[in-house]
Amino acid sequence: MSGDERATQVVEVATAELDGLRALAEERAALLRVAELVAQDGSPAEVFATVVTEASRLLRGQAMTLSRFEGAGELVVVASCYGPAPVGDRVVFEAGTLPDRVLRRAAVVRVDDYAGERDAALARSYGLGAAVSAPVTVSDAVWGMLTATSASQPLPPGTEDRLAQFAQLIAVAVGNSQARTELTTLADEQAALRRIAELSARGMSADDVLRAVAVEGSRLSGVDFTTVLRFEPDGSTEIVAIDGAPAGVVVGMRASAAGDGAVQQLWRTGRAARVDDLAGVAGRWPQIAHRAAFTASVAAPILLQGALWGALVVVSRDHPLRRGIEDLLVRFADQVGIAISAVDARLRLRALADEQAALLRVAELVARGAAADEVFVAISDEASALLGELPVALMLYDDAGAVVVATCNCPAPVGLHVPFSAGTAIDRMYRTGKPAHMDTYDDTPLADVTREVGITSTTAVPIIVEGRVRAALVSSNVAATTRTAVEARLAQFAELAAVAIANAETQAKLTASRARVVATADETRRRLQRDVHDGAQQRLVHAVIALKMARNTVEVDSAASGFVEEALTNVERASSELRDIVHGILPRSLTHGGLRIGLESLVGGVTLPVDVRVTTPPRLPTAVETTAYFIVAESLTNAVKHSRARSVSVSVDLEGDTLVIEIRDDGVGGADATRGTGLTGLLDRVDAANGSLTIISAPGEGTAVHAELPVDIPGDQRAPADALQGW
Amino acid sequence: MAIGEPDRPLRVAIGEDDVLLREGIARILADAGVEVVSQSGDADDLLRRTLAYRPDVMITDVQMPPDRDDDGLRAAMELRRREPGIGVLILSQFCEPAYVMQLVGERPEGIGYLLKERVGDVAAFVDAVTRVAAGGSALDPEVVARMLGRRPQGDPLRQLSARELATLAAMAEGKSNLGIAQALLLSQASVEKHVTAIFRKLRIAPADTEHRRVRAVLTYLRADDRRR
Repeated sequence: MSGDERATQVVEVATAELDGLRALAEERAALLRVAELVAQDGSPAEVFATVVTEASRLLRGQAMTLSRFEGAGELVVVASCYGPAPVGDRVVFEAGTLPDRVLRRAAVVRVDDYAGERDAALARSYGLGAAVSAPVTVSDAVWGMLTATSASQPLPPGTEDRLAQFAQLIAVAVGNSQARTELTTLADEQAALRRIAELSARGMSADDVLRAVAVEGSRLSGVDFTTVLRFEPDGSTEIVAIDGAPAGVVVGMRASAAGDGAVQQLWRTGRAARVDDLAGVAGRWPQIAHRAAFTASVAAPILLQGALWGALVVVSRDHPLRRGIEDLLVRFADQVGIAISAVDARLRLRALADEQAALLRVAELVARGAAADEVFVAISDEASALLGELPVALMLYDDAGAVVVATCNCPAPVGLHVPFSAGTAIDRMYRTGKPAHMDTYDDTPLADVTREVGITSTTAVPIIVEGRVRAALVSSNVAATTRTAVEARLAQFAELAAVAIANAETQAKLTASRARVVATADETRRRLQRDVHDGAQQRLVHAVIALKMARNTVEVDSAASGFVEEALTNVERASSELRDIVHGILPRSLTHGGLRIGLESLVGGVTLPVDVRVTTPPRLPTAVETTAYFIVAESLTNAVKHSRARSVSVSVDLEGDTLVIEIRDDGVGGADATRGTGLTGLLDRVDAANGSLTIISAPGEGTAVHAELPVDIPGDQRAPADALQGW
Repeated sequence: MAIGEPDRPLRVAIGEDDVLLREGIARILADAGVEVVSQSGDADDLLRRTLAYRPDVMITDVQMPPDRDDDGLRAAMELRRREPGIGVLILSQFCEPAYVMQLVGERPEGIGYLLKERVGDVAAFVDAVTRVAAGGSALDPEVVARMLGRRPQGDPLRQLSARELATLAAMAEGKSNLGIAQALLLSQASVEKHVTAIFRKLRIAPADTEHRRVRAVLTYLRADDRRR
């Protein structure tokens, strides 16, 4: 070897070593830059981007991709430098392929020619010929892999080591950031739970607590739409709380168990479930979310005393929810269950209280003796409100079917008559006395009617009075799942309706019997008046006339004259007294001239100044006139006898179909209405007329008698009590 | 005896279902020179006969067949509608101002309303028939007293003195100033003074003839009815 040759050799070796040293220095420098970034707590995204760039440069511009494993068979690209797949791209891989080998072996894997690989076609579609991948291992688990790829040539030897070194740095960076994220998440979670616990402890309403759960759910998972759903026993769900809902989605909305949304999956498996693409997923909730431009959802179970109570559902707008969020939501939902159990108890209690309060309100109405139609309206309203504004109608049976008499939220109009027809709920209930359901009205004679008013199904309970089915409480379009509960509640209202009907009938009978008594009494008065007129009164008139005539024929100042005068005086007084008595029995002015003239005549004989104001039509029904007259007469008698009044005012007005009578004096007041006044004797008469009478008589403030009598004006609607008669 | 036609006796038709009383009235009137042209026991018959015989006065009970209700009063009102010239004297067992008001309507001429027992005061009764026949009025004092009754505060009648009220009552009965003077034991001059005061206090235009005075009083009472 010549000196030159040796020199050349030395130079070559030196150059090679220098190149090696240079390369090593470059590598160290690249790794150092990444390490510094990791040490500075750079964000993972920043670290990833730097790693792929440095690694690519170090490998002379080789394509570099960092991807993360998601579950068992999927990769997501998180960073890339000249790589074949864009960031965010997902790659599903099969067993035996490069990623699978990296994942399972947790070691560097080299593929020099994809032609022999199982995923050759996939590789070709990405334009890949060869690759080397190094695993990124975090906390003893393969988190992802760093991959160098080439279009055709196998990657140079040494690539493995370099990738492995960068992968280690990535692992540190990921480990750091994951730990930090976990810490942050844990803190967030605890803060969220603390806020909810505080709400529960402060005795906030159930709605507030549930809504707080939804709000915290959104905050924890970084989405804008979270709902809390409650499962019914059949798997259908109802929204009980909501945060960031799209328009039209409200608390109280329900969905059946059908469909493949996260909630329905959760119902079937009892475990957290996710949907990454809501497009085309069956079920009401996924469809609503998809229509509102949401793309993905995750549902976590909320357990109550070990049983599935509901679901916490987070819905994301523009990307699938990150892997692992299930764990976070499950932990959160778990704690939420405890808060909800308190709330749920309160909810149940409140529902029970609502129900009892509604029943109590109706019961009070019944006890107060309110008119049956008023009770019916109250029952419809209360039942509907209690059943979440379900349509409710109360129907009365007649010979031919049943007629709607009160409704709430119900499409069927009041007055609608539903004839008996075989198979209908109305018909079956009438015959069996048992609650009845109709799932559909198709193929029944009522198909058209029901379709017209929008009734698809019926849940009805009978109202039974004294063993007879007299009416029905009917709810329409009840979800099959809630039918039993609806029926139970309707039944409670039906019992009250039955009492109301029985009351009204008893009352109507009582009123009718009183009215008969009063009518009989009035007729007796008329007969008595006539009998006296034609009998005793007439004979007294004869006697007066005869004695007056006799007076003219006897000598003045004779003994006979004295006797005649004395007899005449007595007979005239008797005649006058009898005239007053007859007038008191039933004044002709009343029967002949009506109330106004009767009262005019009445006050003419009263020894007090009386101001009478009567604004009624000239004639009213006889019974009303007579009752009104006697109320005034008795009040005036009391005023004269007891009140020491200086004057009395009487007013009689017809207000609508009510006759309002008021008698006021300016006397001493303090009249005891319960005894000593003849007015209490008139109460039967007032009751018989379905009227009312009150006496206000504070000491020193005079006495006011106020009476109201309904006036049955012909052509008017029948009174409720009448309406109840005869069916 | 009849005023205005001295050569012809006063003619009356009587309606009264009480036969004894009817006969008694007929005898009293006949004894006084009144010609009783017909006697009826029911209101329909009375109206028919009255319209046929056209007497000066129809005397009738209120409660009579055929309906035993206000048939007599209804016959009287029908007669006044169809034959306003024939006087009507109601004999009633009822002391009811309402009947009087209804019968009077807007026209108090030729109206009488007496309690049946007044028939025994023969002279006063015949005088009443005569007054009604002449287009005057004859209202029973007891009915008038009831009409004037106790008046509420603010009622103009409360401005009248006791004498003036008594004078007003007598005027309403249909009495002349002389009649009032005799009944109240006053001079005619005093009566005239009271009458003037009454008209002034009640704001009724003064009137001279007797039946116009009754009209004035009744009109006042009717207007009062409406006002209340």
